Amino acid sequence: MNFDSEYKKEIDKLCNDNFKMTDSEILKLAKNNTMTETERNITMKKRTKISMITKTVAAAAACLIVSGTAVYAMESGTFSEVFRSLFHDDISAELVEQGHGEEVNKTVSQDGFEVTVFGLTGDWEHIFLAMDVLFPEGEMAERTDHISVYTLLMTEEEHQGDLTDAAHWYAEADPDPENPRLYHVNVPIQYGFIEGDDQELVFDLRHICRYFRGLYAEELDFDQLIVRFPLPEELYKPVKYSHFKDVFFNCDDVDYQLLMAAYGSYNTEFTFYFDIADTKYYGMGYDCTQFCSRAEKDWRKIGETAVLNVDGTEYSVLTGETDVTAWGDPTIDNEAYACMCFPAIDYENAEYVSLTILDKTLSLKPNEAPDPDYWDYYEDVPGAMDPEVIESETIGSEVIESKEEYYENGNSVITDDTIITEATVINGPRVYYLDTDMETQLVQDVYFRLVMGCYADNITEFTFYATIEDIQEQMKYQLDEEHVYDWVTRHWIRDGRKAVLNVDGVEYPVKHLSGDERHIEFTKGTETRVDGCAKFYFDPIDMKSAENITLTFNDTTFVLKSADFQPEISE
Amino acid sequence: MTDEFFTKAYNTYKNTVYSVVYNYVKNADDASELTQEAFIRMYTTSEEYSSDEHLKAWLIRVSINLCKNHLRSRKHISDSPIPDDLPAEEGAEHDDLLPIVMSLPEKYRIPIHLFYYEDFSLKQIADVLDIPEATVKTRLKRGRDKLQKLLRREDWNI
Repeated sequence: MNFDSEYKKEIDKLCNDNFKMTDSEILKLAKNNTMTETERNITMKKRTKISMITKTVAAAAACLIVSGTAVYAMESGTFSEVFRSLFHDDISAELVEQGHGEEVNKTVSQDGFEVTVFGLTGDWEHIFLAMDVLFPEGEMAERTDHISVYTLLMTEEEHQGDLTDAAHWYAEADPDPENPRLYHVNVPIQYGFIEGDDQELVFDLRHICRYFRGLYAEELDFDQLIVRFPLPEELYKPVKYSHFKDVFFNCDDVDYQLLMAAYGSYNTEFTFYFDIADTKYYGMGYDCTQFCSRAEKDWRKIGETAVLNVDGTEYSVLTGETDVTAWGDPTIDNEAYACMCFPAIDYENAEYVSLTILDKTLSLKPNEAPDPDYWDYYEDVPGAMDPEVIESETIGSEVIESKEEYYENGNSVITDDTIITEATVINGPRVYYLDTDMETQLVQDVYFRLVMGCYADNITEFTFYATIEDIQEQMKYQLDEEHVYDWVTRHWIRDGRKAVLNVDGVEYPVKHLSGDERHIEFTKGTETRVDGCAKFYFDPIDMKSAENITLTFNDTTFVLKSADFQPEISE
Repeated sequence: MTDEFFTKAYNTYKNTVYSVVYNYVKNADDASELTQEAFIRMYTTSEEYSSDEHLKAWLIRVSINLCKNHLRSRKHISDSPIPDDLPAEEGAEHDDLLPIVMSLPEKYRIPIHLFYYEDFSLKQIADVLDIPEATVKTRLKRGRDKLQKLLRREDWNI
């Protein structure tokens, strides 16, 4: 059957059945509309002019107020004191005192409302923006005792785009004990959204919901409560991350795999992965809400047993709403995640750190089976953190080619001028295989395309590129690029372990994996940029003599050599 | 623009415009309304068309913009898997192509439609959708792969 001709027939039928307007009818309509359009333009021009004048005057007024200083909380002391005195947030206050923070101190107004942005601080996981909202005098203020705010924080370019789907940062606030018209708000903002290099940021308070005596009263909309301020680099305190592999515990036949620990200034967060398939969660009507609710309830019970031990001091799981969570979408796949948070600890200076869940103790420091920590190694190599001088780098058993030599089984930093390496130099004939069409969908809308096979004396290597363009459409402002890298890398590492290379019936397991984040570039917005790069390694095979070679990964079998398919080879 | 030029263009391209619009909005009434709007835009614009291909591409681009504005204003952000007003399935071995194509995500559906219905080249699709040619190629391939999985009959020559 010819799809082409059948599809044309069906489309033509659809058009003829549903769209029956004749050419004379559309011509008449077009002529009538031309007249109407002209009349409407005349009217609209007047309206637009008035509107523009109003907006210009309002903007000018707002600009005048911007130059004013924040008078409320700032009277009590320094920027750090804003966090300490208004929000009882000692961690943020200390971060400010350590130099992590941007003091803004600008006030804008609209319709009698005044908003003062004091500034923001945080670490790579949590950022808080401190602000005040002052209601105008009158009945509205008297009939309000609690508010919540919906704010935006983004670059100028993003702010000028379509804000329909932009993520709003939500926060609740209580009135000042002395001034009932004044509300203090500490807005949590996800890291990455405001990461930038000396770029100007736009803070925009869009909506305020007000409540009175425990009841919702109304939502107030604003479009001029906007504060612009520059954001320097290195604003936020770094967070120490550790990635794990093969660290599991089981509960009710669910295998929870520890993926990552984040040792931040505000808390210590552990992220786990679990597969819904073949568990009690499978087949729950494919209802995302129902699944999350049940999984989180179970996870909280598990969390109650968890103890974080740091050099003999024991910490229990935090009990805030977002401190113990589980999420996943069974309508998309069987993947689910859960995290639990503990108080912040001094990981760097601790000698022994362990996490006990149910009856199983997971050793976190010294780490039993860590993934190679990319940054840990390179932070100690002078000049290695400057991407301009690095030509290429390797980790662990990764093989890399540079200056006609190959390195494996050791850390290497290869710059334009020097090679710092603990690796073994390997030689030998190498065979390359290229194909550009074979790909697999690893996670939703992230495709990995096999671009190269390398068959060497010492190792077999396959290189994939991940296309990030599709996920970009989905996330818009919902996720930041660091989280996307992390997400994709986690999936690559987790699923890649199951890959099998089959050579004439002999199966080879994966030897080592690499998720090379340096090659993943990702830009929020509408334009796609560079893809990501990821690799598999297997033991060496005799590619030339083999008759059939397949690589099976993620339910996709890539035929690398067969009677019907001989790869292009270059030596 | 002369009435004669307009009516000739309308009769030539009404199915082109309607089908592209329908592919976006997946609703017959909205598609009719937006198709009218596209031709009214054509009648009122001062655009000069250098060729029939230019006019066709202009109409498709305008139609797509109208659809995007329409979907945005109505907040039809998420696609319903299958449109409501399509014919029901018949025999078990019969493939109604339209519901199947319409069940594809928009990013695959539109290139598939332009490729198979309009016989557009990769470059023409890339131009009207304002995306790189390589992206069109990828989307067509993935769209075809998804179609193959959705079609019941195995002898479709896609």
